Amino acid sequence: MMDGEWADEDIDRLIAAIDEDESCESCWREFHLISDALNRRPIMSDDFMARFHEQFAAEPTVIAPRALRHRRLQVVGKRWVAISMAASVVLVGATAFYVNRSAAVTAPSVGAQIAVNQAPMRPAEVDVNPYLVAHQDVIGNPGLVHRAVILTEAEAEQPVVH
Amino acid sequence: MMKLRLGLCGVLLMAAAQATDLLTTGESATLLRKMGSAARSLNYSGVYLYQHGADMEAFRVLHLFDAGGEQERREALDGMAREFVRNNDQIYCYVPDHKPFALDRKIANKFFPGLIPDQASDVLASYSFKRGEMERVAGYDCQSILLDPRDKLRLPHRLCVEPSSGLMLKSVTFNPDDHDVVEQFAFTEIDIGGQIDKRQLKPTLASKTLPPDPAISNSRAPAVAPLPQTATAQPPATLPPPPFVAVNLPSGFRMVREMQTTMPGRAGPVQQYLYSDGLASVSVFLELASTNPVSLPLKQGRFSFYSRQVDGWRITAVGEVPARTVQLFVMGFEPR
Repeated sequence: MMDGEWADEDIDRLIAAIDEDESCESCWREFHLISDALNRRPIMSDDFMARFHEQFAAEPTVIAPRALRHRRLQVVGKRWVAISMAASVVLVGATAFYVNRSAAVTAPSVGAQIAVNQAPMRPAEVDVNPYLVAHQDVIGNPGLVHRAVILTEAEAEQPVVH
Repeated sequence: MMKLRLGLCGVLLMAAAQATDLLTTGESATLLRKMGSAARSLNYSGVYLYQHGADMEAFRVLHLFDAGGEQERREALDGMAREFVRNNDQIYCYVPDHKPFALDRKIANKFFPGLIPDQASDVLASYSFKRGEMERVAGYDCQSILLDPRDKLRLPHRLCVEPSSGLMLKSVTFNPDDHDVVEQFAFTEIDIGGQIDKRQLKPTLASKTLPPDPAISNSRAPAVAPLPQTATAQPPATLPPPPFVAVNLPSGFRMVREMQTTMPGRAGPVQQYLYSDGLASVSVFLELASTNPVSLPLKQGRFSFYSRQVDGWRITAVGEVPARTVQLFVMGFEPR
């Protein structure tokens, strides 16, 4: 039926049966959700997205740096990693949907999805490091001075652009 | 009905727990003075973490104050070996296989936990102080203080101060929208008021070339000593006086330094102005534009950028402030 090979009357009968059986309806929703996620189609259920946003907003803010998050991930069991991956697929699917809709791109690339996630970055036509180094040189901080030394050394060897 | 009452009680309890006590200007000024004095005139030794974005580095600091004044050694425990050795107003940076170089006193005075500026009034004008809850940092109970910006042009800071000594044990700069940490300093272990062996204050990375004998140095020594890379850069070409005047810059910021600097990839010098509100800082660069109008990322890590070209000049601002603030700085430079 989902492949469009059933007759309309058969579909009507099945939908009527699903309406009468709560467990069947639940199964139906889950089946579509998985299908949508795996095929990176938009998540059609408003209810799902509402619940997803609700749970996402309720997540505690993690202030640890990404490096620490990665370390934590390594000690988490594979089960949770699998769940995370599944959630990522759902998220990518949703992202792909919005990219499709707004940019009229039929098959958005991974790069396009990343670009969406990193908005509002503009394409960098100018290297900002010299500004950062010069700024950090004067605001002071042991860590920043370290970076300023390294960056300045590395870039001092580059030819001057006229 | 019972559920409604319980829910309301829960909300009220949460609100009470999050409530903060607003400090008066006098109390805030006293607190700033106490924090500044503690960082300068106490003995302490410990390890602190410096987190910025996804990066984290650890530093060991030993600070001694006696009749001879302030002495300190600060050592990077992660990454490239670095040491910062202070003798009162003179601070030298030691790195392997390099000559030690002097740091600007104004810069090094902002090393954690001495992040408090000399001009407390700058901070008081731009931030309100709110007393938070007691926290525990590095084994010490400490008072949380929120420095809440009075406008949206700067970021909030949350400090944690050891009440009896006034020493800052933790400083967090965060994004007010999502509460993500932008920058954070925090002691993981510290001993306040203990004895410091002076032998531990000597640089361990000292190379063949040593800094001048501290005994003959004094506070009248030149305050600015450029980094060696800057000193060995090509002789600067002349930069005509920038035909701009700074008007309507964001309130609360004042210019603290003005200099001509060389930058990699630039044929000539660049005029740099450093503005500060006591905590946040913004650099504005004026240079002759050699290319067509350019675009910069609006944000990279904790830094915001903005740039525009006017009458053959490029004006660029960078700082640890919201994007709107650097934009106002750039737009505030108008042709004379």
